[in-house]
Amino acid sequence: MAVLEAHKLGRWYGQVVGLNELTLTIEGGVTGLIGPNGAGKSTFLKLVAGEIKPSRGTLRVLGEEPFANRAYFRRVGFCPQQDALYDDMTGPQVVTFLLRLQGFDRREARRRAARALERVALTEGLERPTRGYSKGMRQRVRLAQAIAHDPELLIVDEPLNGLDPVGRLEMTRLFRELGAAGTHVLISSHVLHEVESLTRFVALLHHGRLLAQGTVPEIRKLLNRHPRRVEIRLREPRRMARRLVEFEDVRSVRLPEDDGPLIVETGDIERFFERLTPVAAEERAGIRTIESPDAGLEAVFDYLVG
Amino acid sequence: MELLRATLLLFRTHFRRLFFSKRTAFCALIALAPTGLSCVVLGFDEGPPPLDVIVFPTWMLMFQIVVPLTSLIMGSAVISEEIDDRTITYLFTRPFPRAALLLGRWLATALVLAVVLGVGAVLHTVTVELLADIDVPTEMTRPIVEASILGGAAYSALFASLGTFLKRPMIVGLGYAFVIEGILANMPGKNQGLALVHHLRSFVADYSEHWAQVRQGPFQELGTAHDAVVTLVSVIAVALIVGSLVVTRRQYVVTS
Repeated sequence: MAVLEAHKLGRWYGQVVGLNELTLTIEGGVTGLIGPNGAGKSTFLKLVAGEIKPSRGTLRVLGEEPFANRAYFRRVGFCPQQDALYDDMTGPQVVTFLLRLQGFDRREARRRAARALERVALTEGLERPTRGYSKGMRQRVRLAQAIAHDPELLIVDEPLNGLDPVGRLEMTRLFRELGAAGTHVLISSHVLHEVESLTRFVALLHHGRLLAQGTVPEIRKLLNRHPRRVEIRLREPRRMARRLVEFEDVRSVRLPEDDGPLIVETGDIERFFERLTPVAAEERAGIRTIESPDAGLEAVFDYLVG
Repeated sequence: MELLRATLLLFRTHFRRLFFSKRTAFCALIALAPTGLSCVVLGFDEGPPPLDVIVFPTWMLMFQIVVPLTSLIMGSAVISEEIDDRTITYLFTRPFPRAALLLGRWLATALVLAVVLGVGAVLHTVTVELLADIDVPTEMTRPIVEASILGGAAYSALFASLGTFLKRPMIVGLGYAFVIEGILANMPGKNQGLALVHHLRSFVADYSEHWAQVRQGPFQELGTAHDAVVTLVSVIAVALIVGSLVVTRRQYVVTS
């Protein structure tokens, strides 16, 4: 049975469309939800978490309708995107309090809170109120409260935001462990490579619609079809331009005006960068900067939707 | 059973947080207003009789301003604080009856208000006793304290209930407490019964003859203490039932 089934799911905030006609099935395991800001990821996760209800369509998660469903809430953990906590309570107090609302007695709640905080690598400096925590620590507390009751489904909205590289690595490892232990994880991000290391299955959202879904290689292939612009500031633009037009993936090369950059459009940005470095060295091109201003998901998505 | 357990848990947690909050400190300052006013009046060379320094500030300041204002500040935050702080997400994705959030937090609010207003009322009479060197009869002090506590509970339940379905309960509450009630409570006729302050006044005035002069004032058609209690308790019950129903069904959209 599928873990999640959404059929023509829609959600409006007054006149604003948060999600539109989304039909999606998720079988289980770790699933990435990818899309630029405003794509509808958070709205979808709030619907899945049961915080809000659909304006249209149906949503069944773990065989249940999520909104205000207490039986369902015992089975899921939700880590929202907003940086909100009970600022006058310590991290362990926050997690213990929420576990008690989950139905655990005081002793068990404390035990689970300590274990969850340890799992998110938060063991020091916890005695002060969370208002004094760093952004990364607050993020870990939010994650701890979501996993402390061992949910069947963990819903996490942009969980790597605010974490340093070590923190990202630790969290990535945690999600992988949870996935390996049989927990279904639904994780959103606006950066593909963030979820790439976590899961094979990805759903792409844009403007509240499902744009594509599939394995990461399939999605990457789809994204790479989009011609990407690269701006190169260098000492020898003409010599370099002559070499670049020989690349089969390069679709156009525009010489710089005044002090501007050399502008290259490529159909395969990864291959382009692989070959650029040796050629630049050969030609002694004197590259100062390389930028790819439309490399963000937003631009790629705009391209995909025409 | 689950409702009771969750209500008590939310009550305990909220009470601890609320009691030591800036909000409570601010309300405590407001509750000292009658005491402050009495100190000023008793400092006049030819001031009114000492008992009047209890009667009039209680009638006009405590019941008409202090009780509704502190209850509004505390009561309107019962639900809206969780929404404004965006912590309601954690609560409404947990398996407990949602009504417990309103009931538990309101109970904590009512208890804190009882302490703040009760202490304010006692301090008021004690100050007059000390400064004017008189004995204030217990049958005068006790109803003031009781009415203040009961008033705090009724107003806060009303404003907490408003907070379950209004985005800005504070603004609506201000309009209600100081415009609508201000007009209703001071107009002739049965309409006075629609204002909570009218019932607070009825409650104290029924207990001793010291309130006779305000009782005989223009447009005062006060009821009995018993009726006042029944009305105020009914207001609390209806407000909490309506609020519980709303909070159980409504979705609260929190922005990221």
